[in-house]
Amino acid sequence: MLISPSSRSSDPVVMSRIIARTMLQEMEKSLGKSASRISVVNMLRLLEMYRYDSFRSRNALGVLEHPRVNDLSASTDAGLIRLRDALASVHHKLLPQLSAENFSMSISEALMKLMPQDQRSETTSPHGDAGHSLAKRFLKNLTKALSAQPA
Amino acid sequence: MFSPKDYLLVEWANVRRNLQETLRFRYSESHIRDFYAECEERLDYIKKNLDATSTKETSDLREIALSLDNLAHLIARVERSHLEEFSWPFGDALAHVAKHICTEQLALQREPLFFFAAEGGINSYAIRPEKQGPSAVDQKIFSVIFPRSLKDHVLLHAILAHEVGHAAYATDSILHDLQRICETLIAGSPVATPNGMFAWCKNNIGVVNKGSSGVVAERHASWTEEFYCDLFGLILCGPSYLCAFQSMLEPMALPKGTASQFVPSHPPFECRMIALVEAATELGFFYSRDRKDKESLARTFDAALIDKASNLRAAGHSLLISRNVRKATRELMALMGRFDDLVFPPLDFELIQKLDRALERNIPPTEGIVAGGKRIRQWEDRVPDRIDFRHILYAGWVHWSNKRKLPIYKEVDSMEKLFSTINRLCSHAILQQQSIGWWIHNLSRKSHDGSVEKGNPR
Repeated sequence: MLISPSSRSSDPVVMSRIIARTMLQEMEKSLGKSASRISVVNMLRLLEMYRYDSFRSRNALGVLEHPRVNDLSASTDAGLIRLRDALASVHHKLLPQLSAENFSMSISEALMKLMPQDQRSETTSPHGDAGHSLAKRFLKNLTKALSAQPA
Repeated sequence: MFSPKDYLLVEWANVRRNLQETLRFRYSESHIRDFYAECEERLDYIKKNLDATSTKETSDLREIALSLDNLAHLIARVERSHLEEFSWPFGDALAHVAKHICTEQLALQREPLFFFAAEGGINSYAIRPEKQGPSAVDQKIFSVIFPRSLKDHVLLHAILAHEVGHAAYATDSILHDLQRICETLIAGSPVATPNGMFAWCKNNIGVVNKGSSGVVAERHASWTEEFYCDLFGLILCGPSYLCAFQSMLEPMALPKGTASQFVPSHPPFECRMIALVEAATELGFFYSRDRKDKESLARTFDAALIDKASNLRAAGHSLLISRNVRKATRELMALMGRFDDLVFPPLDFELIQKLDRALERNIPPTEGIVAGGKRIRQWEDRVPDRIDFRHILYAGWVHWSNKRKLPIYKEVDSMEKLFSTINRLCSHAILQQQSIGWWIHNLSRKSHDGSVEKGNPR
């Protein structure tokens, strides 16, 4: 094996930053109006994790699978905790009056506005252009929070 | 020499080429359309991210490399997935009942795709759900793994219901409900806390070392999830799950007195078996207890499982608190009941008797054929009844239990032949039922007069 299995683990902080950055670029290219479906879906997934506070890293095992002994110290939740903290900081900066659930729902709704009309689950949104603005501010702040060095 | 970014750009083109070669001759167009569309979308997204990343952004390049690596692994796994190497009618039936609970409750969310592959090993059953959280993924693709040596042994495939439990546990919107059920399940037992679990392991299975920090906590989460997945499998697949579980896991159980350096990833087989029989009792799965004649068919089947658990309990292997296992079972049953077709359907014992008689005559256990006279020629007039694949499995296990005790099947060769035959007939029955499902589906699409029920493709 060329590299150790643990070095193949994805960093959720970096992945989320890439998605947020890509969405911002997509918005810039479309004059703030749209983003790709895959970007929106993944950002909705991230907000879902925040809504249900389901940041965890354990992988599912088989019915009888026993990991090797050298995997025993491989698991770490540090990246997920950083991700959760970054989202919490953006939440408290943008919409501090809302609960985590309502914050997630509001941002999700704003992000949905970036989808082409035929791919949205709802045809109208109360946010209008304000939704685009909220989505952009969320993505900018999230990119910044995820770019900060860990304390 | 390549710069990291240039290398990834070359590799990206290679992966795209691999995708174009994958499954070209192996599956029907409709089966792979979604797979190709999803992989193409992922590739485009990875390329977009790659183009936007400079050579200096090493952590971003590494993450993009991992996304490409994951996709290349997935494509290779699906490429190796040949129809001849696993029981695809069973796989299709399982995917149908599992897809709703494994779908994230999000706007824009699509149902996950299930792809099947065979692997080596005699118990390598697994479902590998794509990871939770943000990634370069739109529609998730779950890889379902069958042991190649057991490709036709559908009775044992019931164990995959346990793996669906793991997949459901990776769904954020129901995670908290499942975690509450898990808490109920282990409440009051020696494994209610990580420290309690370590102490129990030290005293009962010779564990000597806690390992690095967090290991015991992680193993505690693992044991809890495994106990929950056992209940999930039982509720999904019914009594067949119990038989598959016992048959496959007991031979792999650690012999008494075997010392373990660290806390193992899974609870001991004996403790799991006791909890499962407790849950099956709560669910009313031991039908012969009613002592009605028509249910006597299940007497041998039921007695074998109940006796197994009683013996283990008498030997001091109980770990969870009975009343909490029963309470958690009721709660999980209520949760799973919210999803279409997920729960083992109520059993009609007259149907099981018919299926048993079909097996006795060495024909696939399906109602239409046994009843005779109301088969294909009547399809124009009425929609034939569908038999749930889990009832076919149950009939297969009941038939096996009753035949197995006959002296003629004491010999290994005849025993193996009997089991293989029952499995083959059940596999054919599931295939036949699936064909009926497609027929109903197509008929309902063509029908305009409303006289035919709307069918499900499976």
